[in-house]
Amino acid sequence: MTDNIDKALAAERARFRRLGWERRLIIVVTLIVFLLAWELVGRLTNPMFFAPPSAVFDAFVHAVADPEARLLHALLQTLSILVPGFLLASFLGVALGVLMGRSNIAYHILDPYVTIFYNIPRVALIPILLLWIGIGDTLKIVIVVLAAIFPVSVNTTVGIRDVSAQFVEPARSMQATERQLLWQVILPAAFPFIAAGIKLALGRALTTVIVAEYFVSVSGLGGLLQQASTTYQMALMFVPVIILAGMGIAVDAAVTYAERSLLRRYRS
Amino acid sequence: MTTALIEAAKIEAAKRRWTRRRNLAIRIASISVLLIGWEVAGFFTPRIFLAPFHASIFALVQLTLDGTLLKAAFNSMKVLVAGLAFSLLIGVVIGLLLGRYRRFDWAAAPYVNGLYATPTIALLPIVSLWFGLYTAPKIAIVVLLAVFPIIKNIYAGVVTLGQELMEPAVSMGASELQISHKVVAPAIIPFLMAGLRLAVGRGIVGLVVGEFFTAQTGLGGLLVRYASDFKTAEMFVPIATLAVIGYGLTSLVIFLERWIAPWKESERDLGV
Repeated sequence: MTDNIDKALAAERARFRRLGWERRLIIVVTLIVFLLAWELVGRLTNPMFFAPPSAVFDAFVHAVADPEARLLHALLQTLSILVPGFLLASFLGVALGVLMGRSNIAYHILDPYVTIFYNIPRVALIPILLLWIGIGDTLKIVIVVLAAIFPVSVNTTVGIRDVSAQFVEPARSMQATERQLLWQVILPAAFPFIAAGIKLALGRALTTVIVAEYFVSVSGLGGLLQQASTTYQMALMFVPVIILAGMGIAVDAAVTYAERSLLRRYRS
Repeated sequence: MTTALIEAAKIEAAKRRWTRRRNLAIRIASISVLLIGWEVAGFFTPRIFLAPFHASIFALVQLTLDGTLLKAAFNSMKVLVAGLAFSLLIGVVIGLLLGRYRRFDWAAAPYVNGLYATPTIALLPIVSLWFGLYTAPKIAIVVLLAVFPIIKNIYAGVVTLGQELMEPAVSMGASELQISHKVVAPAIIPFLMAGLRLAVGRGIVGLVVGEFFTAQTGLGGLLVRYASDFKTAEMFVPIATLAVIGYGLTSLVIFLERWIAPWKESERDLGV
């Protein structure tokens, strides 16, 4: 009897292993085909319009090895906008969300503004903010905050209203103070909502910082992109795109990981 | 006994009505503060920085009457609707393939996920080199931004419905056509709508950026023109119109969702 079960388990495990290998094989083969096709198309088209991966790779190595370190400089410039803007937006967004989730009056005072700002595409505010704040890093940080704050605040509000209904009464009946209620009950329970908002906000912040760098003053990775495109250096144009893709993927993975590990901690 | 109950219900209803009126009053007061503040600030600031609220209203009336606004809005809507239609078509096909065929999922998922996390707006210079400066690159950039939430949501829909609904249908002898028509389609409509809602917001960003950086047409072009002429009163007209378009399209999607799939209690949307 146990023998049979063991056998079945072993067979199942072997099947899984086979599927795992098949999966890896498919991923590798697809990547090779994709790169070969890109190379072929890239070599056959006018270099003003497209670049094969070999040329992109060369441009990448050149940019990294560049003694003036322009790429590194651009990356740091972009990060110096993105990181403070995003942290500020997350902090303010959660605070705004908590306020609107816990107080009905605050909710009705602020909700019209959140609705209005949520529906204005934030990039459309760049021209007017340019008049008010002037060209510079402050403007870019403000734009990033405006782009990222509302997904966080809206999700926090929804999450807090959702969990408040279930958890507040029991916690109150156990004599929890208002502060304990917020930090130990409401925020942890609303965390999945907040994390979803932060993930959305990251994508928006990244998009907005590129547009701001492109539009406001040529700096950072967006500026690099602009310089490469106006001089028709196609291979160089892919370099910031690849870095931005890497940043997006890494940050997305990091938030997902943080979300999972925090959830596990609260569950146990 | 019953009269007491009726009395209690009446009091409860009156209380609720009072709360609703109070909330509405708070909202109106809140917005009034903004508009009055805008008017006062505009009165004391030079015109090149901020025009008072009434000047923007006059600008709105004037731009509506002389047709400028309508023409620009029509141009923008053309691009947005075409872009969203392409996104829907491409997104549904790819999402269904990813969800239905494991091998296709393995092969394509890294690229789809990677591009979803990438700020695809960075591809704008490449897109404009390939597609020129007029309508085509704008539609392309809208698609590049809007297609991924649709793919991801359709995929999530197909995977979640998975075995739970599929197996009974198969065991009762449903054909592939019946399965796709009667099982898959109804089950993924809420997911499709959730994806579309995200796509609208991202598509509008793509539209505006496209109109900023390729040939300056539509509402985005109007905005850039007024900004470079320091026409601060006129500037708010395209901004407000874009907000109304965004709000209108999102409401339309929510309405369609309730109308087509009323059985599915729409999940509170986690942001747009």
